[in-house]
Amino acid sequence: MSAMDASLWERFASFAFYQHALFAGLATALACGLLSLFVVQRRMAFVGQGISHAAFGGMGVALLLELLLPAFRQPLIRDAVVAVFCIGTALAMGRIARARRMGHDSAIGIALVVAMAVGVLLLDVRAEWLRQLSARGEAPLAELAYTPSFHDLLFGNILSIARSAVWFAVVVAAGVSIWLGIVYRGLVFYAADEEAAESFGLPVGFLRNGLLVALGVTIVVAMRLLGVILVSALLILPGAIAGFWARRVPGSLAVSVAASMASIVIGLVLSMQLQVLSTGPLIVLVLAALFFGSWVVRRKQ
Amino acid sequence: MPAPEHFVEHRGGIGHGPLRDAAISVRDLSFRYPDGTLALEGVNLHVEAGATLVIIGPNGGGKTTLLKILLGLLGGYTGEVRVAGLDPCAARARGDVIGWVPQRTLFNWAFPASLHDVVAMGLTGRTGLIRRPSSEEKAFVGRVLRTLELEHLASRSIGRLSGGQQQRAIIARALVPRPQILMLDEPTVGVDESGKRRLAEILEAIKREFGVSLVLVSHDLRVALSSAPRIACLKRELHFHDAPENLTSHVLADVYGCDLDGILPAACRHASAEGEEQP
Repeated sequence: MSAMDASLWERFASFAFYQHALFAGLATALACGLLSLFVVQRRMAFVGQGISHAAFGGMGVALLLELLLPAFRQPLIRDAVVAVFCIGTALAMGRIARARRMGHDSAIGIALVVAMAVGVLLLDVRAEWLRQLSARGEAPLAELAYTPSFHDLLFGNILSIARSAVWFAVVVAAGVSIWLGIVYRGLVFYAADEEAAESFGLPVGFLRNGLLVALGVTIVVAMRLLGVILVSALLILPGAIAGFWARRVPGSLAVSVAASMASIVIGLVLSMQLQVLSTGPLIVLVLAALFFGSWVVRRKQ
Repeated sequence: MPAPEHFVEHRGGIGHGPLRDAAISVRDLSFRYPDGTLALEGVNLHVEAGATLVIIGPNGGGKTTLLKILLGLLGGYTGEVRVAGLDPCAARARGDVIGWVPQRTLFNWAFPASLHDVVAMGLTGRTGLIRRPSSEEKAFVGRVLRTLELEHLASRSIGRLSGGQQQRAIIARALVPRPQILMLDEPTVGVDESGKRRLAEILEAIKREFGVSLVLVSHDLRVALSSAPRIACLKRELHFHDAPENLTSHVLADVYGCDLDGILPAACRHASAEGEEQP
């Protein structure tokens, strides 16, 4: 074992946040890899963007609630608030599009900017509140001292992954996998041909909303690692990479999960080696490299 | 999980012996669009189990509206509509009463699936969302593929098939839940002459093999003529509902706009030409 490998392993073994990042990342990669095929085939890339930006608004709400009510200071509860906000926004986007008969892209665009604006304003309110508390000499509670920076929220920060976040990621990945296993055949039909799936008596509304809910909770988990802006990389690129290699659904899911897990591991190792560089963008660029590499290798297929 | 027995027993359809109920029975059907326009008025329609019906009529004559009502996709009509003895919405929820082949399918041809995968998707019409198909149900997919002469293409990617092959895949998918009625909306649009002949042969084989009732919306009667169909001429009201040889010139003049592609008996062709001269 070379010296560099040894130091890499030692660092991994001695810093809990690397381990948290790896395990949470792999769980996230499983959920994202499975959902990615459906996001790509249903052309929901922009839906993913909308939901992940909603997470920013949800974060604003969660961080403000945390100041007001002690119950919301649990990290898991905070994640739950963000998840509820994401799912609510996702379902609202669908409603706006149907009720106003506008394109889904416009409805998503509206929900996206509203959620971002709400998030920024609520974070402003929280910052001002904390400032006034300390001006009055009342030191804010220790667990309130950490306010994620905009940079962390937008581009992710592996240091923000606590042990509880690992469990949250594992539960979400298991939940998404089980749900997918149960509705697999119906969801595949829905993804290929929504109109026909409905005429064959499948509950397409249930499948559509189920997919949005799965996306919502997965994005909440993934945004710690990748941030609001970069999260959709893990929802779009794996499915797009699978398109170069697999011609049927099971193969596509396997390639997609493998690509997203590989990107997590490689991205994490790179960021441990090159310590000044952020993990999230490295993961995204690994995925992009896999995409363009697949393109070059498989362009004749 | 075994098939719910009460579903299998009380219905006819493929492999379940002759059907007592009429395939389609429509009494005094009227439908008004939300803007007040009358789309269908007093339509009476009857299709025996195993029979073929071709619906013709001008654009905007209510053909699509009628199909949507039969499919259980459009409510708010007056009158009585029964599909295999069921309310259309209940029939759609069942998923194995009507096999539906839309005019322009919204199938995503880039989807990673073989032709066999796509046809087997139709099994969900029989199993519903959760239940896995039985081996007998899976074997039926092979029988449908054979009848539609798609067997040799089963492992091909769906996106790499020709337009005609893709159309047959969609028809096959509709047949896989063993529906009692197969409905095709304008199946010959954009299909060339040899393709139309091929489609007619395939539909003939489907009737022979599976005994389904066939409902076709078409401007081209050739496709279904061989099975001695009844014709319904629809222009808001039902102007004619009988065998094609009884179609008289003044009926056709009445529903001016029925484009019969010159394949009806001479008298009708004449009537069609007369009709076109009228404003």
